[in-house]
Amino acid sequence: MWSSIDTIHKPTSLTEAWELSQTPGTTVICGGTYLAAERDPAITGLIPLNAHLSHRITRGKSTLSIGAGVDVDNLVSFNWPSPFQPLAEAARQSCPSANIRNQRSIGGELGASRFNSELIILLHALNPQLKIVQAQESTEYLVEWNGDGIIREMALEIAPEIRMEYLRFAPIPSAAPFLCVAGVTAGAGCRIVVGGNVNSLRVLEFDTNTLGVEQQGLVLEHAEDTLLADHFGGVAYKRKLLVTALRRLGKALCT
Amino acid sequence: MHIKFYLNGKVVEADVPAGMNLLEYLRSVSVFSVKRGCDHGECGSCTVLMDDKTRNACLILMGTLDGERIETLEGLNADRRMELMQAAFLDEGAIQCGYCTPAMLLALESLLRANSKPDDAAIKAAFSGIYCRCTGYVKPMVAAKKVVMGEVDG
Amino acid sequence: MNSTPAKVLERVGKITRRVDGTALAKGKPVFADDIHLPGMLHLKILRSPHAHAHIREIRTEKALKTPGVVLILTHKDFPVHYFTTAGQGYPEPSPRDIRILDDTVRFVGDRVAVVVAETLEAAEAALAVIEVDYDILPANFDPEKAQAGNPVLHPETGKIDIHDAAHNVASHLEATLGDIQKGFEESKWVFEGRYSTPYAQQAHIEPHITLTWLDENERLVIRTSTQVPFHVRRIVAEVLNYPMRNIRVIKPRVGGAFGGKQEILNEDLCAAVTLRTGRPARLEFTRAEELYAARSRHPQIVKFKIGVNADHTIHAIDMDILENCGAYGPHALTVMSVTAQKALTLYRSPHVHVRGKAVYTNLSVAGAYRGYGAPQGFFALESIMDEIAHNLDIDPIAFRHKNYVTAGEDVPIAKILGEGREGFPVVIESTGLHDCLEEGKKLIEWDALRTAEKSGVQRRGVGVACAAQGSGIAGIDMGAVFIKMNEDASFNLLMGATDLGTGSDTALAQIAAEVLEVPVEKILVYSSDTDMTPFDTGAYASSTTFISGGAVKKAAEKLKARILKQGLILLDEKDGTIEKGVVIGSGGDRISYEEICTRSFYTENQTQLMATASHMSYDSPPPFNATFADVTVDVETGLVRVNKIVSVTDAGQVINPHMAEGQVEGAIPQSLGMALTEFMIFDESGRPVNTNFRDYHIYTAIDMPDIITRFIHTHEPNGPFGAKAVAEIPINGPAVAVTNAIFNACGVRIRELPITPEKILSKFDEVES
Repeated sequence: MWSSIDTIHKPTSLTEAWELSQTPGTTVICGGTYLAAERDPAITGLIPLNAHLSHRITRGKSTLSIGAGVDVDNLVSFNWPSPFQPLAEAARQSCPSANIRNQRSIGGELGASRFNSELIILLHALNPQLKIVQAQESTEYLVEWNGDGIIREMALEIAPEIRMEYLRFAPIPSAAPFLCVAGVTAGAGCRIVVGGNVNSLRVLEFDTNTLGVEQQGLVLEHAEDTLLADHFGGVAYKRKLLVTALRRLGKALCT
Repeated sequence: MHIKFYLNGKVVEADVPAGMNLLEYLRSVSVFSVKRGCDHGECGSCTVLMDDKTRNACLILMGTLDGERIETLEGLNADRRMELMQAAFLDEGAIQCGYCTPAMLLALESLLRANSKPDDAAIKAAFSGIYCRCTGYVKPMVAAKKVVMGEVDG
Repeated sequence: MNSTPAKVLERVGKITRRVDGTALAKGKPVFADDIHLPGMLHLKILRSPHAHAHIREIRTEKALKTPGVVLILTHKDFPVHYFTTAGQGYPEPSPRDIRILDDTVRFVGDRVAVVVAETLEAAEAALAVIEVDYDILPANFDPEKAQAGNPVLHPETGKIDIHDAAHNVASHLEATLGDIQKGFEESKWVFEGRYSTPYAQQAHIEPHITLTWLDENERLVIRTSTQVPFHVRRIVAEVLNYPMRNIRVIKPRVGGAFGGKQEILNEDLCAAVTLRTGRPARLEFTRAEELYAARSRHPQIVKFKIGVNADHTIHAIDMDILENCGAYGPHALTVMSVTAQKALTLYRSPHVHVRGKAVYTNLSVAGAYRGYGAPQGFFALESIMDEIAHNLDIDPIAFRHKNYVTAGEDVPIAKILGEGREGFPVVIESTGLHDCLEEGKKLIEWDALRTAEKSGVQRRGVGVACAAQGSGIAGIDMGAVFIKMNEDASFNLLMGATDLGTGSDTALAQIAAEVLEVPVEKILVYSSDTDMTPFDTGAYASSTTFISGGAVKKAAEKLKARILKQGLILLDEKDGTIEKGVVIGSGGDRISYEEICTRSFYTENQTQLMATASHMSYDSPPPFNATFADVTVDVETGLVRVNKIVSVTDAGQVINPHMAEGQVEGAIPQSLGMALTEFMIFDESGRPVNTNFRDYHIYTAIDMPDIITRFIHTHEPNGPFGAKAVAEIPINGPAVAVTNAIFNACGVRIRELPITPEKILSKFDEVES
C-alpha cells in the first residue's frame, strides 16, 4: 500500500497533466515501476499519463517517431531499420525482466534517466529530439534536456551513415552494468557516453568520427571522476576498466 | 476511490484506497495464486496478465486501473492449453516449492499467445522476470519446450 | 535397517509426479498466507538502526494513538529469558543468548519493539513515531578482532552455553587425530593457505510468514512457513511459558526455505500477540528484512596446512576455522562442526588437527543455509587441493583419486567431531566418487579444456571440486510415521517430516508405495502438523529421505506384515505371500487389500490395520559429488563468464530422479551466486547496504550457464532402498570449481569469495609481471 496517495488525477490532456504536476506532492506516473516501488510518503497525488501518450512507433521519411507511451518490450521487438538495431538489445538489457519491460515506457525511462541503463546511455549517444510538454510544447535534444516537463515523443533521425555501439560490464546478464560506454558516429562527428555506477552520465562530442587514442584520453580525463567504487571494484579498477572499454569501443566503432 | 476493470473475464467494480496495489487487492479477494515475494517489482511472484502481457501486480496501483483486462491463473485453470502446460510442469518435475509456478505458467501463456513456436531464447526471456530459487530454471525450461513441441500427454 | 533383498523396484527410482503438484500447479491456496482470518491483527517489528546500543527509554504513547494501533510490545513486556532461535536438537547445541525483546540491540536490524494494529498500514505508520533513546555502544564488525572483547556483545549473566563471553567466542571446537606435528615433520611437502567466504542469504522467494489464532477450544494454532514445526512448538511453549499441550503448529506448503526457516523468527511474537489479545495475528517479513534481519550463511576464514607424502598421499591436515556468527549464535557450533567434519571426511589422513572458533560481531545474524558450513569448508579444502596439485604438477583429478576415502574405510575424525556433541563411528559403506569424477571429466571435456592454449584476452579454463555431506545427523535426527489402511486399499501416511518444496512428501510416498506394493496415488500424505502427525526433528541436515524415509519404510513393512497376517486369517491359511496388493495363501486362495480392510472394519476379526515406526540412525552416510566448471575469463576486464557446470552426484539409490536432479539444478545457481553476484554488504556503521533483489543479485533464467546433472548409482546399505541424501551435497562444489577454473584459465587464484573483477584483474597483473 502506498498509503500517502489520496488522489489519482484524470487529466484531459498532457498540458493539463503538466499543470497538475506543478502542485507540490503531485507527480506524473507512466509505467509506475519506479514510483510504485519507492512509495515516497511525500507524494499524495498521481497523474497517470498513459491515456494521453502515443504507444506507437511511426516511421517517417527521415525520422522514427517513438511515442512516449511505447513500452520497453515494444522497443525490443520492434523491427528497427538500420542502423538502429542495437537499440533493441540495449532496451532488453536495460530491463532484464520481461515483466518490467512490459511495464516501463520509453517516456518513463527517459524521465527516470538511470545512469546504469544501457538504453539511456545509448540514447544519450544518439541524442534524439524530445517533444516536451510544459505550458507550451517545445523540442529539445535529450542531452540538453533539464528534465522538466512531460515527454510526448522521441524522434530519431534516420541517417544511414550513423554507427552505434555500446559495451556493458556486469557480472551476469541480469545485473545492471557497473560500467557502460556507448558511442555514435555520424557524419564527421562522434558522441561518446560513459555511464554505469556513476555520479552522472558523461557525454563528450568530437568533430572527428573516430574514437582514437587521443579522443579516448579526453573521454577518460572528462569521465574518470564520475566513476563510483562499489563491491565489484574501487575507483582505480573502474578507471582501468574504462580505459579498456574505450579502447574496445574505439575499435568497434571503426570496424 | 471507485474503480472498474476486468478480472478473469468478469467485470469488477470496487471502492479501494487509491494507493492500494493490484497484488494487495487480488489477495484481499482470495485470488491467492498471485504471490508476494518482494513487493518491489523485482521477483515476479505477483505476475498477472494485463492485456495478454506479464506484469508485476505489486507495481500496479488500483487507482490507475481503468477498464484493463487482468488475468490470473484462477481464470485460466480450466483452459486446455493451461492444463497441458501444468501437465508438462508436473511431468518434468518443473515444480519444487511451487511458489513461483503460477507466475511461470502465466509467463509461458503470455509467450504462446504471441508466438506459438518460440525458441529457447524466447522462453528464457519470458521467464526472465520471475525469480525461482529452487529449480535453477532447468526443468521449467524443459517443460516449456515440451509444451512448445506439442509433446505433452494430458 | 536391513535392506530388502535385491528386487526390481517399481515405485522407488521412478519418475513420479509430486503428490502436492496439482494444487501447486493450479495456484491453490496452500501456503501459510493463503487464508483470511476474521479480525486478524498485523504485526510490524521496529528494528534497530544502530549496530550496538542500549535502549535507555522507549516511549510508545504517541504511536499507540495512531488510529488502528492495538498494542505495542517492548522488552518491558517480557521477563528476562534467554533462548536460541535455532530449531535443532534438544538440548540445543547453540548458545542461549537471545531474548524475545531485549533492552540491548546488537546489530542493525535487531528487534526493538513490535507494533500490533488492525491494518499493516497502521502498524507501519506507528513504527515511525515510536520514540527510542539509545545509548550508543562501541561496535565491532571484524571477526578477527572479536576476541579482543571490545566490545563484549554478551556480558549478561544468565546466558547459557556461550563458550567464552568475555572474548566474544560463542562456540569452540578442537579435535586431534594422530600427532599433527609429527605428521608435518614426516611429510615431504607442506602447503598452507587461507580462504574466506562471505555472508550469503537463503533468498527463498516466500518470505517468513506466520499466522496465529485461537481455535474453538482456545488452543493456540500457529500456521507457519517453517522447516521445524516440532521445534517451533517446543520453543514457543518455553519462551512464552505456555503449556505445550495448548499449542498446535501447522506447516502448510512452504515456498522455499534452504535453512532460513530452521529458525524461530516470527512465531514467538505472533503467538504472544494472539495470547494477549485473543485475536488472530499475522507477521510477514519484507524482502528487506529477509536480507538483513533474518538469517544467512556464516562467513568463515578457514586456514589449511596440509602435509603430503612423496607418493602424493595426504599425511597431515591442520584446519583452523574462524566463524563469524554475527550478533547471536544460532547454529554457531554445529555449522562449524559441519565445516570441519564434512571437509575432513573427504580425504584420508593419519594426522589431523582441527580448531574452530565462532565469534560474535555486531553484524547480521548467521544461521542455517543449505550445506550448513560445508560449502565454506570445501571452498577452502578444494582450493588448496587444487593448489597442491598445481605445485606438484599433477592432474587435480589424479591427486583426488589418490586421496579420497573409499568403501570400507572408516573416518575416525567424524566420531571425534560429531555435530555439536561427540559423534559416532563412521565407516564408508558406499561411494561413487571415483565414477563421479570420471563421468564429470568426460562431460566437461576436461583434458581438452585444461591443456588448451591459455592466451589472448578471453581465456577459457576448467576446474573441479569434490565434496561429501551427510544424510541426517547421526544419533540425533529422528523421524516418526503412522500409516493406516482404508478399505479402498489406500493408505494415510501421517508423518512429522517437513516438505519444504523439495518433494519429500512424494519421495516418502514412493517408499511407502514400494513396500506396500500399491501405486503412489494410493498413498495419501499428510505431514507436519504437531497435533496430527508423529514427531520429526525437521527438515534439515539432508535428513528427510534417509531418516524420515527410514521410518516410512519400517512402518510400511510392519503394516504389510499385519496385512499379510490378517489376510491369512481371513483366508484361513497358515502361510502366504503378498503380490501386488493381493494376499495369496499357500493353498492358492487370494484376497485383495480392499477385501481384507473392508472385512476387518466391518465383519471379521475386526481391527484397524495400521502401524507406526520411528527411525534414528547412528550412521550418516555421506553422499559424494564432483562438480566441474567451464569458465571464460576476460583478462582485460576481470569479468568471468561461467559457461557450463557439470555436477555428478552419488546419492545412493535415487528415489525420484526428477526431484533429485532438481535439488542439484537449484543448488548450482545458489553457489554461483555466493561466488559471483550475491553480496551482503555493510557500511562502516554496520548498516546493510543492499537490502533488495536489485542489489542482492540472485540468478535469473537468463543468467544460467549450461547445467549437466548426473547421478552415479550406488547402494547404501543403511538407507531406505539404498538411498542417501541429495539436498545439500550439490551446493558445495560450484563456487570452488569456478575459482579453480579461473586459475586454470589465467593463473589467478581467488582465495576470498566473492570473486570480483577487481580481484581478478589485480592478481592477473601480478601473475603476468
